[in-house]
This record gives sequence, structure tokens and C-alpha cells, in this order.
Amino acid sequence: MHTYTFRAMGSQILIAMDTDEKTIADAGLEAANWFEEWEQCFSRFRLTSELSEVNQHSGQFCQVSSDFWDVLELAQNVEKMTGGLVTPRILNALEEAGYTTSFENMAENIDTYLSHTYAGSGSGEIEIDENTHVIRVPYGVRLDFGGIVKGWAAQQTMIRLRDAAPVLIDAGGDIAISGTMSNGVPWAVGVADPFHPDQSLGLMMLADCGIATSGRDYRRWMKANQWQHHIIDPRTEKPAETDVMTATVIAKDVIQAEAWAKSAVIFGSVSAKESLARIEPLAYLLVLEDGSKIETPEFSQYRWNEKWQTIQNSLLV
Amino acid sequence: MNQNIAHHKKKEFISKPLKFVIAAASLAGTLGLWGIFSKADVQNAVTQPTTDATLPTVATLVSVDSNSIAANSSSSTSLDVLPVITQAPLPVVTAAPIINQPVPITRSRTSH
Repeated sequence: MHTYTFRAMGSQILIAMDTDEKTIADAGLEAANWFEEWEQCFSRFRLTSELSEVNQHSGQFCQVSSDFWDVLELAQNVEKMTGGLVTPRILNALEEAGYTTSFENMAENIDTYLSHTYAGSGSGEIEIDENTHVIRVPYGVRLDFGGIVKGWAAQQTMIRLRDAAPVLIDAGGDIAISGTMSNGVPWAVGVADPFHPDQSLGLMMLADCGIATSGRDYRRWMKANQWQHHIIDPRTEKPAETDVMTATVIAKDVIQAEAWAKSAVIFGSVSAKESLARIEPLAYLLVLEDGSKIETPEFSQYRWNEKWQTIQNSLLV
Repeated sequence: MNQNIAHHKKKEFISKPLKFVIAAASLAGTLGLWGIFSKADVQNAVTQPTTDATLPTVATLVSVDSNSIAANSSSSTSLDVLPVITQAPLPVVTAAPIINQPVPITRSRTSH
């Protein structure tokens, strides 16, 4: 097993490749360059990024790169999939809540930061031309790909490396997994306890899927004597008022997992149970702010138990 | 001149031959005595017995009344009445499965 870690997109990135051959695993070193390229494209905190360029020219036609196009298309699909709960058109609301700089650099006196917003920040459709990759964001609307781009980056990295060896990519908690490890056993992935970050809520055995956790236990700040967090409810254009502290979802890929996890937080526990059950049997674990937990049977089936021990032993014989 | 020499000549109480005799006798006596003593030590060492016999232990004897001991001793030394110590059979240990929970490679958490 070879692992590489580095920081990108304001998060810790982990590349794990299940191979003993260093020459093969060295392909993972390239991932740091990929993440840097993507950050230069999608960071809202870099004035020279492509996203910043597009946001500065809202109301005008802009030709975008293929990566930008892919992520925009993906974000629009996720928006449809989640009934509009997860949308990229939330940057104004995020900044209004006080999330105006990268979380690591966020100052304590957040009230003094940029607080202006545009009227109707989330209204209007984004015009797109599939042939020329020209887009026009409605005037006053600004985009933030946030968690989607992190999941997309993890997925892209996994796809690029999976032919070399079984691979797991962890982009700040959004995890893309290529398949089983070389010995045929799924990857063991823990789920962090939001109330006790050094402890785990369980050990999941995962292969060929994605897992993501969304929550308001981190990336939150005080503004006007009220706690704010980064998960915006587009219906109110404010940080979601919810009883869900964290939502962890396992789905067929990390992008879907991230989208459903964020939806579950915005929904709140009652609506999440009803709404997510109607969409598809989803493997999720909700940790509520009172410490109680809601877990679907689909999620439980991934938990490590003696069955996995038997499988592991049979594979080792 | 001769008078001056005679005048300054020290007076000798013991003559030179006598000094010589005394010195020789002293030397001979010392050497002779050492020789005699050393010979005697060697002879003693040879004649000393070399047995490693145990030295006698000096113990204080105390008078004991054997009747009183017999009266105070109520316990019987019969083998029939000695308690039999039994050990409960050990529970049969079935081969419990060894649970080796794998170490997670990472953890899913809110974006850090």
C-alpha cells in the first residue's frame, strides 16, 4: 500500500494505491498537480480562477474550459436530482452568511467582511451552448461549486489512477473508491463522530462506490451572535435550519453521495427520512444534534462484522 | 702541628674491632633467627591435619516439658481426616474466532 497526502481545495487530500510496486504507485504523485489545476479553475477564493472570471462577468457570455463545462453540467444534474436543494447558485447567500474567504483564513471579526449581496441571487437559468461551451450566468447570480467540485476531483483522480492499481481518493472526507483492494477485500473506511472527532461511529467495508459526509460540525462561524455554517438552504438563502448535525451517505459514486448527504442536512431528519425514501433505497447515517442516530438497513449492510472476517480469512488461505 | 692533631682527635669509647664484632653478631643473629622461624613455620604447615571436619555448633539447650506439648496438641495427624483439596474442572474452551478488525485507511467526515 502506498499513500500520499497533500493539501488542496482547503482540504487534506489522500491518495491510497494498493500496490507494492513504487513505480506504479508513483503515478499518484501526479494527483497533486491535477488538484492544483482544478483549484485554479474552480476556487472562488482566487481572483484569477476561471470561476471568478465567470462570476465577475455574470450576464455576459463566456467560453469555459472543458473541465468547467463538465462540472457545470454535473452541478445542474445534481440540482435536478435533488429538486433544487443542492445548487451552485448560492455564492451570494454563502457570502451573506459570512463565508467570504477560505475557511483556514477566516478572521474572527467576520462581521467586517463583505456582506453585500445581489438581489435575486439564485434566480434565472444558466444559458449554455453545448457545441461551443459558451455559457451565460444570469446577471447578479454567482456560482460556487463547493462540495461538488471536491467530489468531482476525487472521482476524476480515481478514474485516472484505477488502471494502475486499486485506488481510494479522499478529498477532505469525500471518498471515491475504485473497487476492492488487490486481495479482493473491500476497503475499510471509518465514519467520524461529529461530537468526538477522534472517535469513529463505525467501520464500513466499501468497494466500487463513494462515501461522503456533510454537516455543520465544521466550517461554522459566529456572525451577529449567531452560529452560521456553510450549508445553504436555497429556499431561504440562509444556512439551513436543521436538526441534523452530520449526514453520511454511501452511493454508487462520491458525487451522488455528497449531493444526498448535503440534501439530508438541509431537509432535517423528518423530511430526510420521507424524501430520501421516495427517491431510492439510500444507505445513510444521520447524526442529530441531540446525539441520536438514524441509520438505514442499506447503510448497516456495509458495516464491518464477523462476516467480513470470514471472507478475509478465506481469501488469505 | 702534631700537638694540634692529637688535641682534636675524638675520644673512642668502643674500639673498632669491637664495633665490627657487634655488627657481625647482630647481622648473623637476625638472619639466623629468621631462618629458624621460617623453617619452623614450614614444618608446622606440613604437619597440620587437612581434614574439613564440620565445626561443632554451639546451641543453647532449653528444657521442655513434653507432657504439656502432648496436652495442647488436639489435631490429629491421621491421613483419613486431612481435607481433600479438589479443583473444579476447567471450562471447555471452544475455539473462539479471532476478530481482527481492519484498520481504516481513512474516515469520512465533514469536509476538512
